[in-house]
Amino acid sequence: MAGWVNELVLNRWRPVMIGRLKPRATFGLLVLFASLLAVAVVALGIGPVTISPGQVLAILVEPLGIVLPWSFDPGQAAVVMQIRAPRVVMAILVGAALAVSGAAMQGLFRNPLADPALIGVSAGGALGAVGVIVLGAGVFSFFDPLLSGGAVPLAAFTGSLAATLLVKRLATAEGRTDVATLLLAGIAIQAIAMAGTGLLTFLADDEQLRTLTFWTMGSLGGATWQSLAFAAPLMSLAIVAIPFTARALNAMLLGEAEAGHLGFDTERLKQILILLVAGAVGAAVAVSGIIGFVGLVVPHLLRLTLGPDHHALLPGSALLGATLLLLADLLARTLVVPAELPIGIITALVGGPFFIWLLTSRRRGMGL
Amino acid sequence: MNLCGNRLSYRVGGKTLLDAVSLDLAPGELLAILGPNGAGKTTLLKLLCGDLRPTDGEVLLNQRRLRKWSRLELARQRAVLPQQSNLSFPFDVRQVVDMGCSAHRWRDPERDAEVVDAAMRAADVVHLAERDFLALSGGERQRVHLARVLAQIWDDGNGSPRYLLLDEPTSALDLAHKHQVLSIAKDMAKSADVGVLAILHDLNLASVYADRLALIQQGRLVACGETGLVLDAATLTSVFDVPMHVAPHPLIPGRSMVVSGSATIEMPEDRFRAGGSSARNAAA
Repeated sequence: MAGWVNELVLNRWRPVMIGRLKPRATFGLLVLFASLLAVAVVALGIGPVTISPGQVLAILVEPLGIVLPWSFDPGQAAVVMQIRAPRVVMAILVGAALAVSGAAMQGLFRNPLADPALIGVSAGGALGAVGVIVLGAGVFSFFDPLLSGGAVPLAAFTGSLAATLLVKRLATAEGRTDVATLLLAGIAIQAIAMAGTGLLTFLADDEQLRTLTFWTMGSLGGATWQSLAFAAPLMSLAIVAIPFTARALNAMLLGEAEAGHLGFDTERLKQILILLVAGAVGAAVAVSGIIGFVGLVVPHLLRLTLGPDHHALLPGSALLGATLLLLADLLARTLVVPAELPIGIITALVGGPFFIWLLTSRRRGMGL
Repeated sequence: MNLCGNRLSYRVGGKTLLDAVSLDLAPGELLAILGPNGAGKTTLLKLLCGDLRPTDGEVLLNQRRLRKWSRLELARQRAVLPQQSNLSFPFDVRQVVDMGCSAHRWRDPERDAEVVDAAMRAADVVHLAERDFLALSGGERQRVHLARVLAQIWDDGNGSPRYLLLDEPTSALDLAHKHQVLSIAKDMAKSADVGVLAILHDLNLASVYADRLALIQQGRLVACGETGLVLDAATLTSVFDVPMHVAPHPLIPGRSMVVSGSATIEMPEDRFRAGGSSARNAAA
């Protein structure tokens, strides 16, 4: 028993082995995990109906047959399980997916300023979503009853994936994907997609304008168990799989040729990472709109505290991204009750100044 | 058992960078590649390690074409140290050296740690182990990368031949560390039976440490053979386009010492004057 566990889990998948991490990084990851759990429990309790953390825990473990000393009524249980839990899970998955994707892109591009948006994911998603919002009444009216509200996420996801695959295709010649061309093709496709979005915005009527403006600022307000069922698998896949590329991404920081000499199949690594990121960020954009700065700032912050080693950076980014987006969503839905602030405003409003502070105070040692 | 380049040519944009160069590297020897700037030394190394595909010719490692090797197999037998690596993230030195163990993916982590320690001792970077790589000097960085490639092909006791390709490993080093790096390379060749190929610029270092020399000029192999035989004043003078003199090494019997330049240094009087001699004549 112990033999095969050791072989399969420890040896074969050493990339995520805790034993490889420095004590400080292990401690950091544990702290991040604990804070994620704490913030999740608090977030489940806060809202128009206030539920104490103890009651939240009691509600969560009740289906397992465990009875905790905090009593609650069925109404509270319904609020937690049906209204808040999908939203909290969505915030965790979207935050983790965006941040871990950002960390992977920064490693792949060997540039601490890279971001998933660089490969066209967000701009393509926006074009898809805005297309359905504006043209939906005409072109998509036939499909609309079938999709029953799922048209916008589906179009956003399709747009994200199409844009990323196009960027990747443009940067690939003779089976080799050139990272510098990837960056430039990403910028070009982003510009084209944004022009398309601009044109559609120009054509939109007042109500459509309002809808698309809110969509581009991001929101987790639409989270339900149904929308999660669509988006969760792709985001979970990236969150779980990307940390396994830690060792290869470390080597990539030496340069692509060096990573190859160290035994890594860099072409396959690039393909896998681009597909994982496109799927995860595409799904995130589809269900929550455009949420900026998480993918850029979270890996940065962690590099300053845990160091650049991807063994710690990738899982750490997922944990911190989830925690921060959970907090941002908490602010989004509590600051201006009964209305909601778009979450993209909060992440940019907090992330922007924070990023400026990073740039000015830590210019040295970040490779800038 | 060797690393063998067979009539390697490399042309790009109608320009021939390397023209039918044949070269082989056997385990246990240190082969130095010498030649003026732009002669094609780095191109040759990139062809030999597979970074570039030859326009003509083929590279064989242990009688098997380079392309037929899996990346992992290759990485366990052959390490490459490029002229420069642009690592711009603040890893500590030990982590950088540990990257050399990447190809030994299923190896026990404790064994990895031993190998990293041994490689850091060999490259004299043990005292830097906990330092931030980005805070090191150019020479220290080069030695850290050397430790990394040493760790990559550190002896695992399975007896398979190993090769080390070094592109100007001494360029950023002070004199003492130049000697140190080359004696490490030599030691890897002699006691660990590694085939070491090094691009060098210093003829005297090459003369002291190399078993064989290859001279390259304008993409062609001019001479290749035992160090003493290749270090010939007439050949060197024509390759490097500067008068060269070869004399017996004062300390090491059987080795040569090379001096470059003429007895007098040419100093045209008007080299740094605006307008040169004509301007002066006009003033007179």
